[in-house]
Amino acid sequence: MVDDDVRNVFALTSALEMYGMRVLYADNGHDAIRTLQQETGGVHLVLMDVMLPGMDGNETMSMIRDMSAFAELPILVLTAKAMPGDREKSITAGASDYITKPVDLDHLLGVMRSHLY
Amino acid sequence: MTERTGGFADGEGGPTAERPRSKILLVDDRADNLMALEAILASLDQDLVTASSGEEALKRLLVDDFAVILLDVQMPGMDGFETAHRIKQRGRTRDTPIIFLTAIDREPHHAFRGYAVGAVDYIAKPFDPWLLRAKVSVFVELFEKNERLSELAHQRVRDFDLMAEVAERLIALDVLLEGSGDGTADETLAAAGAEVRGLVARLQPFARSANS
Repeated sequence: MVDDDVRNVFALTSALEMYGMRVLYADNGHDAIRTLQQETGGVHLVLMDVMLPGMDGNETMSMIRDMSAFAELPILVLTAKAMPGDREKSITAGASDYITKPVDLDHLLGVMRSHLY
Repeated sequence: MTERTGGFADGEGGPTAERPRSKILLVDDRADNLMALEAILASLDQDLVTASSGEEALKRLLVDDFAVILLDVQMPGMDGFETAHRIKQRGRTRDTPIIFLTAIDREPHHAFRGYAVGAVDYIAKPFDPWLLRAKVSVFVELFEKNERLSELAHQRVRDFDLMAEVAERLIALDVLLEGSGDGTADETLAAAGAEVRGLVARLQPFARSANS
């Protein structure tokens, strides 16, 4: 989970944990990449906000995709702003899917499932 | 006021070099308050993690588990009550004890609000350093006991799983020997031998003396 807006993320994390998922958190792109590299068990899916302090979500995704180990890693972009062209920018940067905030949990779980199984 | 701190933190086992330190989360928007808390709690020899806002506290809680949270009530942005409310709504942090810290001259109903949101304790500023340290020690000790209990519970589950597996294999062996009329004696013996070897391999780690 990569998102600077902890008010939203805390509740979402709590919901995902109730479904038995283990959620690793980073509030910026650099920490996200470090977490990916350090997690020995492997991360199965990334939820990425586009609006991050410093390096934004799209830049972070590009860097992750440049690493061969994460070429196939599902990365779902979560974003509040849905301007024309945003979706394309994220897909070009390497997003597997695109979800607009506020997040509908059932929809999110459905999209996550489709990328995990 | 004496500066004695040993009794609570050390527990019955006494201090040990490799004892994993518990994490304590200190939340206050004022840097000088955080420094004072760190000074007061340093002698507990635990990991003190500071956060200067409710938002930062939630971020810390997404990354780590804490033995106890010291939470300032009056903070700009997300105040102590809202922070506590969110902490209490998440399963993983619901049972983490929260000690609210607030100025004594503020409204007395604050204490009630603190308890209502699920805080387990409440300390008015300016607080007695010894009292704060003693209270935090109790929660750290409780946390460490819970951690040990949880590890024992996991061990018990693993033991039961092994017992169930061994019981099932013994039943399979029994069934095999019961129905020995169906095949030749050699076939039955070979199959039974394989079952027994499987069981021995599974139980080998528990033998007091290693037999080959």
